[in-house]
Amino acid sequence: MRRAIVVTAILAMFGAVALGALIGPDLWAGYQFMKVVDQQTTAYEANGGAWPQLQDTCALCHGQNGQAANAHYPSLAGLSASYIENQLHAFAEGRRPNPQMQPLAKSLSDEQIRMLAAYYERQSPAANDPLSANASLDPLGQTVVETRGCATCHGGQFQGSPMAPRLAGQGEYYLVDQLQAFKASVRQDPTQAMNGIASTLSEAEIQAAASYLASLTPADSPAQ
Amino acid sequence: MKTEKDKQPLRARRRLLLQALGGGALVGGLALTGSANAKAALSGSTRPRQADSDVLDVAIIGAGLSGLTSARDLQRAGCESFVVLEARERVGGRTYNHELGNGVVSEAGGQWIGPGQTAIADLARQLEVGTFDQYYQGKTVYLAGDARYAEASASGGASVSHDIARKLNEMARSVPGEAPWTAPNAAELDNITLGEWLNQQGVTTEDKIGLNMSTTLTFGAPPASLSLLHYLSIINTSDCSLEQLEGIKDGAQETRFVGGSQILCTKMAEHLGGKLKLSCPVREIVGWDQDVVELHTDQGIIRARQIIAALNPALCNQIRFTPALPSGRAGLQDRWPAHAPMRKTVHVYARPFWRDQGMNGQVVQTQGPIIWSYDNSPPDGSVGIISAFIKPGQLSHNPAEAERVLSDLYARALGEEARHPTQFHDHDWGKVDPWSLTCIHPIPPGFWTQWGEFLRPAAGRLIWSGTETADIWPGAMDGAVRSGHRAAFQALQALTENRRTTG
Repeated sequence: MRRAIVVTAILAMFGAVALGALIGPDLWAGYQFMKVVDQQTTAYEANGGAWPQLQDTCALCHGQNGQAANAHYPSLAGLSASYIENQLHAFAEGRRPNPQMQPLAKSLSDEQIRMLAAYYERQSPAANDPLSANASLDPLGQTVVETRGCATCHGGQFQGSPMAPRLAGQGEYYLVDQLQAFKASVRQDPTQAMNGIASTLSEAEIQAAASYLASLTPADSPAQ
Repeated sequence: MKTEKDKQPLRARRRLLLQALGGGALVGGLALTGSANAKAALSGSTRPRQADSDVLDVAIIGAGLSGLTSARDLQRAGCESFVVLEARERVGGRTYNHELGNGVVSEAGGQWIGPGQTAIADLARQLEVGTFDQYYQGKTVYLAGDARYAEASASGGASVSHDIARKLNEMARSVPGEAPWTAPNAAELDNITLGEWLNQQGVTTEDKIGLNMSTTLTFGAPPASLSLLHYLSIINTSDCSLEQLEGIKDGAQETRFVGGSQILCTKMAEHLGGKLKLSCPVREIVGWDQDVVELHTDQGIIRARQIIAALNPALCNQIRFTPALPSGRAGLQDRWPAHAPMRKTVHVYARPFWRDQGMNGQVVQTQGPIIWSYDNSPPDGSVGIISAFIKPGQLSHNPAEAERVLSDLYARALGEEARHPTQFHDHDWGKVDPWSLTCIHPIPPGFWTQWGEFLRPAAGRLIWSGTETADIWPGAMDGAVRSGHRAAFQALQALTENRRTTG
């Protein structure tokens, strides 16, 4: 690494492309490497400000730019800022129990919460990797989602709204966990709507609905 | 309700008096006849103290390195009236061995020791557990997007610019590792993140890559979330040397245990017999301010005179306390950070082929699932093992998919042979069970100066233990052993003190 940056400086001085072949594969690799790192850094700073960003911590579990590749963790990309703010305050005040998120949210200032919420609202959601998502052929999931009126709050394409989170392309196991938590009243929806709906769902319906929603491609437009 | 509780101390005191008499005889008997006979006396039909026979001297919560060290010390001191309560169906806490067959293991949790970590080194010698060097010779591979760059580093681990390290080491001298909140300029240092401080110094692109990786691994979060005061306190505990803290050669990642780190706990547990209760989580602690404390577990109520809570504070916070804990300790537990990522994977190969090509098996990705991979092969190199610290949310939960994504990255970094591992293992501690919650504590700004003083002082009969409470190497396996020794002393002293005042 230390050599890589020295090499980059040297190459920049003499004109990189011509020199690459002369200097040898190692140095050329170093130059190429630093070039990609610079591109990554530029994109990173344009999206979220100077290094290091607070959201670097969130990215470990919630994915790069808020898009998790692991269905156990929720993707934050494209969730409305008001929803994220509400959840962080709910964690901090103990209204939404979670042993990892509660202390983390407590450590954030209101300003940091607003900044994180705005950042994740800006990120574009992506579809889950079809290999990772349990693309279910079972029609039960779609039936559950349609008959329970999920679209009323979560949007016609389940892309989310200021009051309710995006469900399309959300992590499957995360959705299962949340529906079970609503059902058991471990998680409380302030309006009790989710507790009411979840309490009527069987375990099979919860699994099927989560699987269906996880397999949907999120709409391009961020939540509004 | 209140009147019922008020009766408890009286009953308890009567029992304590009887115990004081019986206990003296028991310890005397143990010295004369050896622990085997003492054990027989305890479990035999001729129980000397029927009235209080169900009240133990000590109950230890947690069968990790800390709790089992305490148990071992109690036994060595002649105390046989104790129990170790473990929530999981296994011992080891945050140490856990994947068994790979033919006696080969790969550690899913804590695994290294280094210079100055003498408490755990001594314990290993006493338990006849051998050690060997972490393999680091050769080049580390860095991946950024499609670009690959390989370079050897002197100490084998993460490194930062000499100037930055020198400044940090110098500042760490005035931040006591055991009590950072007592540093002369604690308020100032606790008011700023490591990231903010680094930006004031000016850091290079390569430093940023190294610091993102090393602080996430060693401190549990990237630089923007860490208190500078906390960062300095951990450098202080590492002999005021960031190089020693982060390095392999002459550093805290230098040495591994033959048979894997969990073997220390397995060996300590062998001597406990029926005193170890597995699958026995403690849900509520009642009467911690009384002479006899009740632990409500999934296997019924355990009553004891002293409790050693060998758990991290975030886990303590999952237990219900009746009455409520003092506000300082309650506030500390409630805010104790528990979000450090801890997912590790294992790729097993027929042999450590990367060594032949001058590589050390270490892969660092600037963006992507791999934080850091390393050579975790057994001492004889009979099979090749690449273990990696993974960003939990950035790699599929699906084992086949996770294996393939990582194999592809290893193939690019280490060569085509990496594409076909013979085994793959994945352990995300945050999702496997609720009994660790976090590996290390990424302390944010403002925490130590407000809550630090409440970390160690006992609350009634509750003695706080676990690596987080260690005076040297808090957070490390060595700290766990140290805290275990200290907690055992504290429990024995409290018992003596109480018997003196009641007897």
